[in-house]
Amino acid sequence: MKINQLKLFGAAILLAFGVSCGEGEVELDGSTYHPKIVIQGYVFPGRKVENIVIMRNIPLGGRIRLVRDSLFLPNAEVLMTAPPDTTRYELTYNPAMKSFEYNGSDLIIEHNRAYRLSVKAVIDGDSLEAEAETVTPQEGFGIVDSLTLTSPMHYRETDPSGALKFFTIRFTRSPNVDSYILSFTALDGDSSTFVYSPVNPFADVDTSDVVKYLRMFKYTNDLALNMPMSPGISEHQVLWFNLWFYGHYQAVVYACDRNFKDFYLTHGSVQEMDGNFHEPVMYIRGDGIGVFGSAIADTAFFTILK
Amino acid sequence: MRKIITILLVVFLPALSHAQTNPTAAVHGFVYDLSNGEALIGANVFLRENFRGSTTNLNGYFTIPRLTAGTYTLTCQYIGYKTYTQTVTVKAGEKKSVAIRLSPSTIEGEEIVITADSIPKIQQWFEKPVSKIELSGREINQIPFVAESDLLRSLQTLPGIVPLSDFSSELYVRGGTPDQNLYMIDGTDVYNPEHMFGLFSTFNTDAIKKVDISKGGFGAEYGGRMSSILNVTNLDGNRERFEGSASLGLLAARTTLQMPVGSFGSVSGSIRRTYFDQTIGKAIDEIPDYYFYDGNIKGFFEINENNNLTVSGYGGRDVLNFVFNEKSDDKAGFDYNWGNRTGSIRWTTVLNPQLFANFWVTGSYFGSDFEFNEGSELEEHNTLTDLTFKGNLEYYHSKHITYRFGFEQKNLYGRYKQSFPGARVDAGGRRGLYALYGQTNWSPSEPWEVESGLRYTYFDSDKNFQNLDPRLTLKYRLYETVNLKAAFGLYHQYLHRIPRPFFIGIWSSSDRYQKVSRAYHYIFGYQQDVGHAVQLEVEMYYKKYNRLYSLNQNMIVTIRPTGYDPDGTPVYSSSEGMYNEGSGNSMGIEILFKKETGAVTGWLGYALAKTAYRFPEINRNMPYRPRHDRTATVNLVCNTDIRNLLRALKGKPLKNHRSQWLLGTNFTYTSGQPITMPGSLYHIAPTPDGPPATVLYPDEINAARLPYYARLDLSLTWERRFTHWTFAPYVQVFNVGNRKNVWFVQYMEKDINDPDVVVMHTKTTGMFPILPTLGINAKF
Repeated sequence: MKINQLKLFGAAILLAFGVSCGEGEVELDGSTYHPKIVIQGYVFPGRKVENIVIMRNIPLGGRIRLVRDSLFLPNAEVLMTAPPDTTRYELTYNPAMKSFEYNGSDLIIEHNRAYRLSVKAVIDGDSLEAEAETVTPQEGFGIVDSLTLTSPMHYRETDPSGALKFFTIRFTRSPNVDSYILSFTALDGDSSTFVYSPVNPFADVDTSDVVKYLRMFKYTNDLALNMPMSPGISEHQVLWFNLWFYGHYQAVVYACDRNFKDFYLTHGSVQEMDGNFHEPVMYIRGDGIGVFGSAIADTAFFTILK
Repeated sequence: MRKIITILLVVFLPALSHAQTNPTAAVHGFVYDLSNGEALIGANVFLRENFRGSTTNLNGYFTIPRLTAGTYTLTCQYIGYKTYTQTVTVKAGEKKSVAIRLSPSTIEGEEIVITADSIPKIQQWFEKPVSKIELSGREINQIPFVAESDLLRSLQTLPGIVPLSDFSSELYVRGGTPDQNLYMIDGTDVYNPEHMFGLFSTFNTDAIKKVDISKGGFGAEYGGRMSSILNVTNLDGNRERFEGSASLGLLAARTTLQMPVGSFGSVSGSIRRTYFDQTIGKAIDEIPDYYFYDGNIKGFFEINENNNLTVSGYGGRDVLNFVFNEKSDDKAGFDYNWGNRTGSIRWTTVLNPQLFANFWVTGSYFGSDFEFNEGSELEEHNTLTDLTFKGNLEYYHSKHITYRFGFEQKNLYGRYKQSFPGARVDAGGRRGLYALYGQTNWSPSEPWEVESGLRYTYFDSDKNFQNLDPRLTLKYRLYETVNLKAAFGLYHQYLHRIPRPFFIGIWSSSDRYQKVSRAYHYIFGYQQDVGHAVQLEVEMYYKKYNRLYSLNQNMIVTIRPTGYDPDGTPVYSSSEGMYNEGSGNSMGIEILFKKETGAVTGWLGYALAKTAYRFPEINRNMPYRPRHDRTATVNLVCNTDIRNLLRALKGKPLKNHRSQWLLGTNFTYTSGQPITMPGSLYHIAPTPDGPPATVLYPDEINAARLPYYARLDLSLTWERRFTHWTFAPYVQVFNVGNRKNVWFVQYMEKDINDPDVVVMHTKTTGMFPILPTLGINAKF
């Protein structure tokens, strides 16, 4: 190998070294933003249409002033229909609740019926439209209090054989519902009632962590997925992993439609383990994201003793 | 039927055109390494008088048929060995068997000479199949590594093969995914060849004799995969004396031992185990209790001069015990272990000097077990068993024609069981694969060579499939220093792997829910000897995929139970809803400069490529680039013998020194990986009673690019040879420039103590930083 070739090789190595220094950076500059109508709306059989929240999405990049009122779209046109019926029910904005509702008495949500929500709004000068449809659950769902094991229990209490005990909720199923979402709220949850290590085997956190992540610890969810759609009773064990505080807990169980279930399962899980994104499953046509779903709800309460 | 007859005629037509009376003497035999008895693959054997010859196959066998009676000078040449010559006299009709033993040219003090009459490298490249690259165990071990030498990571330095990240040893070959590659050890299929969650592969580089990878256009002998074939041949064992090597690195300790078995055989065995769980793992609680081990054993037995028997086996396991909170008395956590076991028996026989055959019985088992010991039911068991019978026969009709044909019968049994609160999965079943193939290697005139083949496969599942795969390669020797190649092939795949983060992937097969995947390969190649022992290879390719399957990231909403337990627990038994089906294509150009002799050896590769997918459920049915798409890639691998380099600069010939300094360099550059950026932020509650949270909504799928990836690795080895042993300590530095290559991006809210203001910022997590490694190798 001649000297010139060696010099060339050395230069190539230096160049390679230079290229392989430094740091890759990824910035958010808002260039990927497209305005969308955000719908958070649920209808419940036997109840009026209310709490239909219509908001806008927000571009990323820089400092975003979330003056909360600015997120809502009080001037949106929100209509509901119940196909095949062509009657249009115009929803009006309730400033106190920051949501839309129907004020008439001629629209009470029924079981096993289709309802369509149509929204029009102007965001950043763009005229946008979105539409979604839900089919409400059939009658049948309800928590069976007499069979539900919610007697007060110590944290991760064991039975005489040493096996862990669980709070268990039993419920009757609705025939056209295959999934049930459970929402747990620690009614007394704060940094003084948190179950700290070493009692808590799942995490070693301190008081400041509890304050910082209070929402995450206080409100937890679970799902009973793909249950039989035949009449009967199902049961669900409440995992200790979902319970982080001593004190009183509220468990709301929803017999949910496909829109609610698929939104719940996918909207918050759009980022994969390698950091990339995939699209959530939302049954909203046009320029909308979010959920327009329906459910039957029932509630149970239990207490974790210190 | 007419189509099948036409294809068969095209494949076997050369036989008809060459039906003539030929001389019937032949010279055949095996080529071995004199120092250890290993069969040598790819050695060139020829007769000087008429330049008739051949190259030894994977078993070291060669044959020169259809000779006239006479006396010939038999010559054998192989890089790294001294040229061998022998006078051979054959009578009319005689089949002369010869055992050639080549002396390695590694005698200390001797000059290393590359003789003028060596078989030109360009000729060797002409003979090898299109898109095929061969590497020896030594070449693999010379490439700088992170913690542990690894075969798959070494292959990632070749053009057309990219990794997904520093944490993965999986191969993405010309736009294909890892499950589209067939991995074989000594002819046995290996499933999930990964240790340490994909960080390393299960191939112990000390046990490797030779590796070849076909990146596309492979012949009818191989099937069942759409992208590539990776064939690992392990050492047979030293037939002359006891030999061993041992290595101690930061990650693992390993050893390889070889010894003769009487005068008729040999055995070799390797074992490897990580040990940081016993060292720093004991001192630092945060390091989970994890280790892996693996071992190979291979026995080679020469029954007689025409029959050999090879028995080989592999076993390995990864074991992880993880506790969430070490400080808690209640050690909630999980146990996860997984591993492969393979075994094979191969009978190699020379049925007659023109008909050579290999017959295998192979078995491969993969199993993984996961148990979450929190008191609730959460466990997973995953097994895959493969029992295969196969045979390959080669018929050397004449110097113009060789026929290859064979069969494969594969019995698969897979079982996947998972139970967790509220559901369980119980899927599995038996599958059968039956394949026949025929292939002709035909040289119609001097500068031309044609390889045409056909593979028929029948796949027995809950729905049966059968397919015919034609394969065609054309080679043309344009000038003495230039070859042209073109290839076409149709490839079907019946097995699909579901990749999972953290957990080992699960294999599923074509059935009533998943059709058979299919790919077309079109390849054009140019090879040139550019002088100074440098060869240039340029290949352009185009691949078209149909019925491509990707894991449905939202499968939780599409999977449906196949039944229910008496207590109402849903049971899942099929793959319905787990995959998205789509199509795609890949195209590119690869340029490779390779130098295999001299004080400086290695290669420089460049690839320009594009891969695009289209799935109805993804990106609103618009084309998008998958995560493994890389527009441009540059690889530089360079191994320098420093003392000989200094001699070469002074115009002195190269020498084998008692001690030598070896400098290894590996540089990789790839353009940024496709990534989906978050498009916007919105506020929404997950349930009607819950508080709202800030959630990201993605932009167009994979429309953005991460910053470029670049990494320089260096290694320095001092090798000292003593009479009976060699000692080689080394230091390696991975990512010398300490570049923070982006692995993934988190989008987070900055805590600014104002509930009405959100500031989103990105936090990037990088891949491996600068990582020095120390170690020591010894051979005895």
